[in-house]
Amino acid sequence: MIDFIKRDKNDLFDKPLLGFLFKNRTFLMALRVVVASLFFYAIYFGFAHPGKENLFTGALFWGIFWALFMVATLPSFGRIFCGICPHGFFGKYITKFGLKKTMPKWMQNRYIGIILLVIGWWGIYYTFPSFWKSPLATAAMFGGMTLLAFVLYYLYKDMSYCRYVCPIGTLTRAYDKLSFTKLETYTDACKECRTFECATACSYNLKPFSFAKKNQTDDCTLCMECANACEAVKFTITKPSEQLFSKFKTLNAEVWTYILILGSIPISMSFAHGLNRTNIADSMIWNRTAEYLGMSEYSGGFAFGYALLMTIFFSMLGLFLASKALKRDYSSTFSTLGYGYAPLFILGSLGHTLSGFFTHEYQEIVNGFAQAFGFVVEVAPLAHRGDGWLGYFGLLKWIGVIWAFILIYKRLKLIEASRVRKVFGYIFASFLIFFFIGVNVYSGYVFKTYGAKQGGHGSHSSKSTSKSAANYAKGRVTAEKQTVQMNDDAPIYFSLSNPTQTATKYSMGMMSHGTGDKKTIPSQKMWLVYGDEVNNQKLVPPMKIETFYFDTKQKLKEIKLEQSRGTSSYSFEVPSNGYYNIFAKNEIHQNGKVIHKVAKLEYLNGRHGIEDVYTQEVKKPLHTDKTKIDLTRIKSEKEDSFFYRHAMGDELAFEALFDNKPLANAKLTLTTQSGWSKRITTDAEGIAKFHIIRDYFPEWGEFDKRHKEEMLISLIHMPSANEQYILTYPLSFYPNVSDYESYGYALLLMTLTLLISGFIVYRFRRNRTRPFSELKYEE
Amino acid sequence: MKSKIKDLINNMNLAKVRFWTQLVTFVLFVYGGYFAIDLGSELPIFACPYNGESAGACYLIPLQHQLSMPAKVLLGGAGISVIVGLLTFLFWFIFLNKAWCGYACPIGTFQDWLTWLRKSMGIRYSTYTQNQFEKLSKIKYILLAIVLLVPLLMGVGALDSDWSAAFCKICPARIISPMFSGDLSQWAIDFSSITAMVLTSIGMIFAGLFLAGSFVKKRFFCFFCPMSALHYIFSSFAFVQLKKDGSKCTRCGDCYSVCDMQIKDIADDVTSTNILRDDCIMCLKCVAACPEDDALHFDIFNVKAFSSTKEGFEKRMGIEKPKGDRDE
Amino acid sequence: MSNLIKREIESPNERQNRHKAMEAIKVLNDLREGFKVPPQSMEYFYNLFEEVYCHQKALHKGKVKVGTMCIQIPSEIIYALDGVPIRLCNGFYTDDEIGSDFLPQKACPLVKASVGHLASQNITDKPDMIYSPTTCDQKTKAGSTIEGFGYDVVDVNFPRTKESEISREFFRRSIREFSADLSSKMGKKLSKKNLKAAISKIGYAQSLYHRLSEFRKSSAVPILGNDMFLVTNAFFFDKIDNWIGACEKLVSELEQRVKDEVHVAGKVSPRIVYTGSPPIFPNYKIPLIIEESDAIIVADETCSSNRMFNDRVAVDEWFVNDMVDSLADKYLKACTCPVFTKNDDRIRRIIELVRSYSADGVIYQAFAGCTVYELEQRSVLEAMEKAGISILYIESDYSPSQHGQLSTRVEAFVESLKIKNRKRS
Repeated sequence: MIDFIKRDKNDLFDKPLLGFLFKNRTFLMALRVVVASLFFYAIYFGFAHPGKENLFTGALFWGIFWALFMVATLPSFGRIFCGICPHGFFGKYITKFGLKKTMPKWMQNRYIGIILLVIGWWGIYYTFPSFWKSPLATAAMFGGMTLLAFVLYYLYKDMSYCRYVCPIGTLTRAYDKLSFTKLETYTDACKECRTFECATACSYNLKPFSFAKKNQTDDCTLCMECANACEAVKFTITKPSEQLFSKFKTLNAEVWTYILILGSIPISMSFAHGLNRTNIADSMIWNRTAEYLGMSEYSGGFAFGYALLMTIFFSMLGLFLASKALKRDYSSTFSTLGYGYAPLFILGSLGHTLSGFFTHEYQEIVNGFAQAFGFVVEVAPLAHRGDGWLGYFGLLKWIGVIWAFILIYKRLKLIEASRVRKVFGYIFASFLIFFFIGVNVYSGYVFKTYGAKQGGHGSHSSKSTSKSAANYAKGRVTAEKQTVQMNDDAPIYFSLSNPTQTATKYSMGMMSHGTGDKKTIPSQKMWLVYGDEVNNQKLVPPMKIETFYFDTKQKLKEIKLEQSRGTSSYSFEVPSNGYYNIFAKNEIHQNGKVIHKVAKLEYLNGRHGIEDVYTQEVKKPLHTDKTKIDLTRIKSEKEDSFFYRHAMGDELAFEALFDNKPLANAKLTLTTQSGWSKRITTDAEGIAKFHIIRDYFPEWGEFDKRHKEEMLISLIHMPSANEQYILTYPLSFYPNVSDYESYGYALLLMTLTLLISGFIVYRFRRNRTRPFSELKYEE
Repeated sequence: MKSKIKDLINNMNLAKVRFWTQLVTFVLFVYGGYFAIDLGSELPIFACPYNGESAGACYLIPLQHQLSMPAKVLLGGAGISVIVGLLTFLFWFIFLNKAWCGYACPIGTFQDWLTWLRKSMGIRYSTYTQNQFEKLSKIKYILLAIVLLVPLLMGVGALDSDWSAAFCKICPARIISPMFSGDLSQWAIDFSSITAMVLTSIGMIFAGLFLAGSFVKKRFFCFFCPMSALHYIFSSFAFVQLKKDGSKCTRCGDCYSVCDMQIKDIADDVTSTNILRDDCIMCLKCVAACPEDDALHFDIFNVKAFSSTKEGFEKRMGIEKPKGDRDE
Repeated sequence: MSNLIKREIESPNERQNRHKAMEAIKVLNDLREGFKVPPQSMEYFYNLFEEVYCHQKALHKGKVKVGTMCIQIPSEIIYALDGVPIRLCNGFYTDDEIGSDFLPQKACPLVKASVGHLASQNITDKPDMIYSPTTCDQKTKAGSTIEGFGYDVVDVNFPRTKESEISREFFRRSIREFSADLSSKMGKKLSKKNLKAAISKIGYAQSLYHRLSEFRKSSAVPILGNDMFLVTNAFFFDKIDNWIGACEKLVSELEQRVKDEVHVAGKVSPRIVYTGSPPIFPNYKIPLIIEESDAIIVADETCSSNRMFNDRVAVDEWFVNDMVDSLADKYLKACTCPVFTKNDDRIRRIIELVRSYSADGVIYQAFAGCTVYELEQRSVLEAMEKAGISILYIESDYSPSQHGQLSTRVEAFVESLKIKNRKRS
């Protein structure tokens, strides 16, 4: 034993605060006492209040200890969960006064604990979901395990309960290997030691002085008795999972822990809590099996069973093939490479637990404690389910995947084989990881495509928002009752936004992402509206209307009428990029006059990823004789792409046609949503030109370059006293780029930068050589 | 025969080979669209798509657009598109490693042309002192962080859509590259919002610094390039590598004298075999300037393709039999 | 007695010349006749040394002679300014004795000899100015002593560390100062053309040496180590164009010899790498002992031979400023002189030489009084031991005594190498 040693920089015991927290006997004792008290109080509380009103027991056990504290500490500081466990705490003293017999060989089996956990707890949890979470069951389970533990501590020596029977003994030992800490000794000091107080102090009968050489800490639970017995013990910070990068004596039980826990928790949860909550849950194989066997109410258990089976299958298959590829025996391959699977469960669980903590656990824990200790407090959850940043906890699972890949690589380095074999071995050994990724991706896909069952608890993957290619306006639908009657002679026109829906922020020109199924042809929706004020359009009530449209190749096509929730809308397919011209014709008779109403819409479809090229052909105006009156827009030179938008200040030219002949002296009325209106007439060739006005002058801070304005053009022509033709043509326009982009300032800035930087460089170079300018050469 | 080919390669006039290769790749990537060449949008060079007829797009554009998807969409199935894009990028990358920078990047080529301009004007180049070098070398990682983090912040809603493709707004390539097709439309400051104004102004300032800097310092911008940082992360997986045999190295520093990027390790590090550093543009000038046999070599699939040789050195430095006056 | 034989009393200079001629001719004869047939082209060099040291022939009439005390002065700059660099390192015991009057007895014999030579003022190609880089203590202090003899000595600052940025800038500036000084003395300026031509010429000379060295890698070595020392020593003072011409002839002859597999040593002669204090003509005591003991020197790591020729200058942009800076960099960074604080480069160089020349052992010779080589001995010995290379450490000076002792040690070492070789095969 030594009393003083110069500690390394990465030794935690050297740090002021952390050293105290991890080593100080008094502090550790106090901490253990607190934990034990809470533990027993919660058990008592569970028996005393066995019903649902008991918030404390569940909050303490399932909120704090399992899984939050455990999964948070295991991959970080290591096995400190065992270090403060009440069983171990009491066990140490019980063993001192106990019989100290050696545990019988059949009981010295780590799989006892593992099976207890996997089948006894998780199996039951999935089959009878509410069983283990009820306070009575919780208290009974922990109370029972405590009794068993105490009995075993009394009977047997070296804390054998922790090693073999405790359900999480092997689990914590296995996942502790991912931590970034290491308990070992300063071996230089140990070389001279004769007394080995560290081993004497250890209640688990371990030899801390050998940890460094063996590259593992066996069943050490970080109780720190050895550290307090001799100063040569160190607790260092290392690279995460550094222990796995080198050889150590492997334990098959640990690898099985990884595999079984991966199956029992993340995979089973994806099945039972994830996929079971989608709309296609019934087609999942475990549900079908359960149904077939008539045991549908235990479908969770079947999900669990399938999950375990598949996990075991993939891991064994992968490692078997890997052993063949690497030309080694299966068991050594299993025990070497299997360690790579460690991060998959623990990081995924960490992410899930952390996000759960913020959404509801925090509140439950506080309420539980409030209940147990009799104080009143009101807390709100720290986050809500839909919050964006919670999604980042989902990243932890992928970090775990990457970590697993790295670990397999590192463990492969310990195997002697040719490079090619190692590559194959790597791929095979990663089968389980691929399976894990596959389950997650599939889950996400199912949720996106089929959606979650309503009223469900939500899912791990993102709730998809159904995106049909053109629904610009989202938000609540408030179907306004159309009370105002439409005037018969009121012109009708097309609108690309649903007049019955209040606009949300998505209604501003958001380009369609082209998500949606590749198989369905994208289509565009429009509504027929009427009303003079552009802001106050109303849906045209259903009436007899002839509708048709021309596609980009100017072929005639039919429009689909859709009715939903009392509103009718029209949709047409937009498979390619180009100009679509849509028409709606109506004819009414009023007071002996015939009024022909035509609504026209020219829609430019521009979609990324489509191969169409914008040629002169595209710009050709459409001439048709399906309507007698027509107004075609003459495309200007500036228009050169499918994404062109009309801008304020642009000049637009239109040609009015009647019977396909240019209509001279026709009256065009232009109205914008700001209330501006103008009347123009076509010239002798039927052409009218005008400039789109600039009427958007907000405060600079509120200027939005994507601000969309609507303009409506209507053409009225009366060939005779009893006939009237009305054609409507809506347009949208945006602020002109040249109104907010400046070349002058840019050039100025550039010139200034060049001058200033040139000057600085010049001065800098001169200063460099000035001290010995007598030594500078003229070139 | 084999040794003849080897000699031919090892003794080649690297400057000439480089000039012609850069010319061809410049025409390809800047004007390729006119020949209807489209190599996809995951190119590992600054083939800026703001240049209308470029033969592809720089990977940073789709990367930023993909990462700016809303977080929930990104972490769900749509994240696959990021992985697919990254894999395509890596597919291009692993063929040439960082030689993309030295031989294919149009912006790099442009800087080399500015260097030629300076040389023909008889102006000496500037260098960083070691101190400055170390301080400035972190900037490329900061820019890479901007490339990756700003879209992610957009995805969680912390930044609005004005920040879309933020790095492209401040990148000098956006302003300089379209110049070659006569397109000066990027030479503008966008006043439509404060964010846009600040970002495009920074872009103009960077473009100005780029021109001034590249004139006096060889490959000025490459020192700050986030694409270079992104390359370096994956460079050990590429098929071609720059290797050094430390035992043959006399630390004469010839390679360091000619290195455009002022990488000290190329001369001083005699223990590492893989001498490719994060600033390296794999122009192979160091291999050409090394006077020892096989001390530096450019490997393709771990086979020495272009090695430093004594003979090659003599040829390239113009060490030839002098016409002296001898008395016999 | 009428026919008294008139004896003329020799003047001190004449005596000095005679003694030096004796030393020189002894070594030359050894080389000409003592070994297996030397290459035909070596005749040029034997004649050269005979003419210069026995007949006091002046080679550089009409040119400005710039004396340098060490190899760190870039000869490219001197040639560019139309001067002739003369290396002043001296190997004569005669001069060593003269120099002992000016320097302590225990000082480095090479420096003593150089000082003695200059003190005697009996020099054929007398340097018009001398540049002395501040390398080792002895040379540094010798500078001012030499100045006392009336020479124009300029100290050129040389840094003692070569790793740091500061040293690099320091030496660049130092070289610029040197070339400014030389430029003003010569009345000429450095231009792109003349400096590039000088770099090219010296580079060519260096590449000739490289070609010569390549031949020594084969198992049938076509030329003795001593002959190579002679060739490289000639570079100190010979007209460079003549030297280049003679070397070219030597190269073609050796090429032929290699084809014919002519071997100038015995079949089992161990191959030696010679390192340490430079053997300057005629102080080839140790190398001769080695080669007379049936070993052959295949490579060396000394500043009179390998170090001068090993590293060539690379320039990126051919501006005068850049060329001068590149020269300064190369002369500093590539130098493996033991004056530096760290000597990893030298150790690596020796190991690389042993490997590429398939040498069996290393002989490290330090002058008694040479502080830097003696101090480095330990680290080199350790490194060689670690690398598994046999090494012998000898101390000697210029005095003709101790010959027996030294040859015994060398022979023993050579024997041990032979035994090792036999065991291995």
